[in-house]
Amino acid sequence: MKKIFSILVTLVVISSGSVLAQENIFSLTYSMSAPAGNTAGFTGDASFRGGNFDYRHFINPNMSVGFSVGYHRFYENKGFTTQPLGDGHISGNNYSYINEIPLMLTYHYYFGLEGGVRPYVGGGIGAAHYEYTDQIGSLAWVDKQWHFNIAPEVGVLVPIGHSTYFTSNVKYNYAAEANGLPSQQYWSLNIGFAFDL
Amino acid sequence: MKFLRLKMLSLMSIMAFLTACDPQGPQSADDYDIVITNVSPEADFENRKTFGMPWKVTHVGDTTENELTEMDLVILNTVKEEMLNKNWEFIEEGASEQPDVVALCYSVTKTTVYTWWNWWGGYPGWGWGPGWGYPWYPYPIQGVSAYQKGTITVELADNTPTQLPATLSENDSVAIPILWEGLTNGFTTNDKDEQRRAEKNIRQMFEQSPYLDK
Repeated sequence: MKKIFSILVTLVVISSGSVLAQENIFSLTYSMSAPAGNTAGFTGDASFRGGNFDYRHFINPNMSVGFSVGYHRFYENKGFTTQPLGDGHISGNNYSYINEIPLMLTYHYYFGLEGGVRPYVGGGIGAAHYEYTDQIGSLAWVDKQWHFNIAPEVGVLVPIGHSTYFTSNVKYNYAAEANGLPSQQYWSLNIGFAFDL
Repeated sequence: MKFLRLKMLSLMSIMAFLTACDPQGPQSADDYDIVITNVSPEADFENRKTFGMPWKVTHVGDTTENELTEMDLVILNTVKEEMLNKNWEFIEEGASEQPDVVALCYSVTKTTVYTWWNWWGGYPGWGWGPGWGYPWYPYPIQGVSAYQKGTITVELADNTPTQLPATLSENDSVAIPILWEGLTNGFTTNDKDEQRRAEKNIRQMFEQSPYLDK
């Protein structure tokens, strides 16, 4: 009798998923990034300055659509360098920076059951604003450019309390070549928390 | 909702803390220093072996100061040393032999923007005759239209007769016999540390110009 009662309770809980379900969540994540490709050529060091804000609306228990806004800063101190300039050379301590702001629409597919650990796959598509700075001593050359941007990702949502989740994901970010500026790539590991709205 | 705001604020504080633990960019005055050198594509240093130097640094923006400052001496001594290190032969002013090139030094002492022809004033034509000298000094700065305060410029000019027209406009193209120039900036107080940086940066001008080696 107890077993039948337990099964019934479980069935009721599962069937009432639409009432208890995640409907809208947002997340704030701290982002660490490893540049790749052309991005690594310009700023080779790993980035520890970054973050993302994500909003997701569940269209059914396993899928969400939303948007993502972020900021990532890449930096490399290249030390004292001498480079050709016009008919001569320029020397000084060389610093390069990239400030990147991705703005993307997102889609995610979730595995597992609501209320439990939910691995997911998905990605974003949109635009990313890149500001490139190449500084030697007190002089700097700055380029700014919007790139078409895509970012596939895998991640997980782990419930840790009432309407709160630990979240982590890995994204590969690809910004297409634009206006003579080459494509940009980096991997990011994002860690943070998500909340039901 | 109150808890949500609290959570967001806490998270944003943690992220701000994490990002602030990573200092970036120049950290000291030395880090801002730049050294730029330009060489005339037509310059032929193969057949030039001797140099002379007016023992003076022109203070662009302040013509009232005529005495050599400590910084001026650092500039002049360093330029002379570097030329000698590159195996150029020094010709004293007043010697019967004329140098192949002259080394000219400037420092910009005011923040006012100057265009290059401002410093053409007083140029009387090239001085020739027994016992060479510098009647034409100061020589015009060329190449850029504005200098920042605290810029030191060193030029190597070809020692050939050049008579410049008395009136020039900015767009006039005039053959100025400057073969090479070096610039560095960031010297506004001329204290001991700036003198050290000026010396280091003037040496770098010559370091990055191996074509001046004899």
